[in-house]
Amino acid sequence: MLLKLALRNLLQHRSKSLIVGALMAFGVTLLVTGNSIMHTLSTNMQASFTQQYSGDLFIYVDKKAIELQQRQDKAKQAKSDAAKPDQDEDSLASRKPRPNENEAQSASSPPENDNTSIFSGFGGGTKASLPSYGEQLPGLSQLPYISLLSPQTVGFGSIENGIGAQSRTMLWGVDQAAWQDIGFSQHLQWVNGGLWQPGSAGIALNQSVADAYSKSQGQAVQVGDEIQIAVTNDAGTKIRSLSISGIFNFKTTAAPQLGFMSLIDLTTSQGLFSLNVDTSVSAELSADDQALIGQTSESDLFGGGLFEDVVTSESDAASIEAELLSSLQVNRSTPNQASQQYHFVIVQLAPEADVKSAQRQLQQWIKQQNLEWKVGDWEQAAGFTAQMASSVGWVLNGFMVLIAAVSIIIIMNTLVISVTERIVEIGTMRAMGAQKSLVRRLIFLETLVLAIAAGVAGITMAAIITGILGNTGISPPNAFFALIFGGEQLYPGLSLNAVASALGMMVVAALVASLYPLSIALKVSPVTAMQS
Amino acid sequence: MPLIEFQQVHKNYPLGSTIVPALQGVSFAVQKGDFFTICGPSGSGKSTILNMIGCIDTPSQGEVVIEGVKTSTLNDRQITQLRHQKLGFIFQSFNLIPVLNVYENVEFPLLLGSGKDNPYASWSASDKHEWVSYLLDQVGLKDYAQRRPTELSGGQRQRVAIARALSTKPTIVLADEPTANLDSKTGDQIIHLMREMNQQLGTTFVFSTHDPQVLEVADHVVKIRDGMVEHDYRTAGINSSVTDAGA
Repeated sequence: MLLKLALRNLLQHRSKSLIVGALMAFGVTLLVTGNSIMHTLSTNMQASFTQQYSGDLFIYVDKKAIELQQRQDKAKQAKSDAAKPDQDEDSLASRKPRPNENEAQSASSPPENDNTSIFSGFGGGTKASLPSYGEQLPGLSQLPYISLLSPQTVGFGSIENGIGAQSRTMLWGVDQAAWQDIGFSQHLQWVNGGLWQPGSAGIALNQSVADAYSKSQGQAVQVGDEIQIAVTNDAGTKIRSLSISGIFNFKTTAAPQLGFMSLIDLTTSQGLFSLNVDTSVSAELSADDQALIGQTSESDLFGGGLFEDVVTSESDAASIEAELLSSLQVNRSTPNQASQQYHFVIVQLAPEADVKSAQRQLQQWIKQQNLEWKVGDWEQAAGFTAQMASSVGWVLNGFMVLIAAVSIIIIMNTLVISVTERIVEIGTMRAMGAQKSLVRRLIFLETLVLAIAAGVAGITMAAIITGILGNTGISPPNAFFALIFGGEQLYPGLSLNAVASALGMMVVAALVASLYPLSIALKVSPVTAMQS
Repeated sequence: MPLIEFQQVHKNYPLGSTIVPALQGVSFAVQKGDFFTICGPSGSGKSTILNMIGCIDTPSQGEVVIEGVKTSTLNDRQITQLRHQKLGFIFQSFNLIPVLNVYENVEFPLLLGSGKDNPYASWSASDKHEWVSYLLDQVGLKDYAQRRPTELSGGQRQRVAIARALSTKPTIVLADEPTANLDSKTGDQIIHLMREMNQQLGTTFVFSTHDPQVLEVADHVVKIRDGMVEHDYRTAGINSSVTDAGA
């Protein structure tokens, strides 16, 4: 009976119901459409990152922990030095060196914020390398929620021909076989060639990098061309010569850095990024090179066979080497045995694993192993891009809150008028024996029916709009949105979460709006009926 | 035991900084089955008395006792229950619920509350239908069951109001000037209808009125003037003359 009464009351006051309902429906349409677009954007971005770049999770070095440890070590050392000034050398010699110690900041500087993302926080030379991965690999592989592990490197470099042509690129060091296994290679669009052969060295150029390089050298770069790759970081400058295996584009570019990201074989990248601290590479000089240098041997010049076994982690030696090699034709380096230094490790989870839960468990396991590692998810990998998308989401939500607030005020005013017009009716009900709870239920029910009807209308409108946009696509109005869209068009789909949250929000807003009119209705005395 | 008893009831209303006495020590008793009328000029206090019997107003002093229960001892919920189960209301302006049809308006009081709050909840749907149809038949509106109040004349609306007031089988039906908005012929029909209901069902009817037609059929009359009982007398009922005068 109450429902019947509520429905008929709404129909009786149809003009007011229509005004309020239309307003609510408009709000729901905006909410559902906006949130559906945001949801599509977020889903696309997540898929784009997890399927192409970050995996389900990624492990990286906890720079803050390392820096903190280094500062503590330094402080201890300083204390020790003060106490035993004559034992300085012994003390230093006996201290076990920590990874990256040569990169340590001064003891007075604060640790860096953990803003690590795959494309912004790595590539800092040995400073960002992931220590002890090789030792921990067997244990990691045993974890039941992990399906696949793929170590990676990433950083800035340049490609050049040794006679002036040059182009900047980001380099992503990947293991060809693992790259295939993890499925990332499916998301590359090849213009020419492909990835290098398993077990060999090579580089695949991003098309934009290849175009810039072609322009710089005055002729189109071809698959099979030999190029030099140079990387300069805190450990010095490294140069390697590689053959171009292919030219490609990423199918989606959710992160701006991907526009100039080239792929390089993992072993060579480790050398370039100074991550092969325990291995050596040799540079064989041609006869012309020897002639250019002169008849004098390296021993005559630098003493002690420096170039016979170059230890690349020695920064001074490396910088000398770089200066020399950059002006010489460098022979192609042969990949050495893989070292155990990487920038990060991509983790693909078992199909049934929950990402958040796995992230917690993995971080816990790392803690138990006393490792200075951290575990990030795709949002962290996306870094700046995810933050931008999140910011747009917050702005959208701000508008929604504003709309909700205005809606609540208008709904409240309309309901107050509606209740005031029905004072006698409510008084009559009370006189006939209706408890206050019945009046409360009636007003709530009327508001709820209106909210649900408006909600359904709003959702239908949103479904139509989203359907149309899903077919035609949304073109980004500017470069900022193009970046967030991750491409030239965004094809939104209706999000069930958006539908549920919009309905929930509308119901809550309607109920909040009905509180004041309800308080008026509950104060109506049965005497009102007699006085009518 | 009287069905309704007023014991030295006073009612004062504040009017700005002054207090206006509406009732000044009113006492009377109404017996079960009475066709009882409170009459008097405008502002005499008859509506105040009716409101107090209907438990929608409270005395400033004194007691109103209904079926032996002092209404001042009841809380809001109990008073609402008492109104639902013991009292029926007929209003001057009919006060039908506009969005419900005739049948639904009569049925409405049976649906108020649930469980122990509503003794009519245990009635089966067919029992309710039978009872509501009987009432509509009694008031001559069986063929109008599906009409909305706006589709009825004033007299028909008041008949619906009578049927609605009787739907919960109340002990007392309160009628506040029920013929005030009706022409004399329709008013006469309504009065006689209520008298018939009173005699058929044994329901006590309490009127506030200054309609002489009502006074003619009443068997108990209390005349009020300036908030006090001027006369309290019983008659022989329809077409009878005054048999007893004075308080």
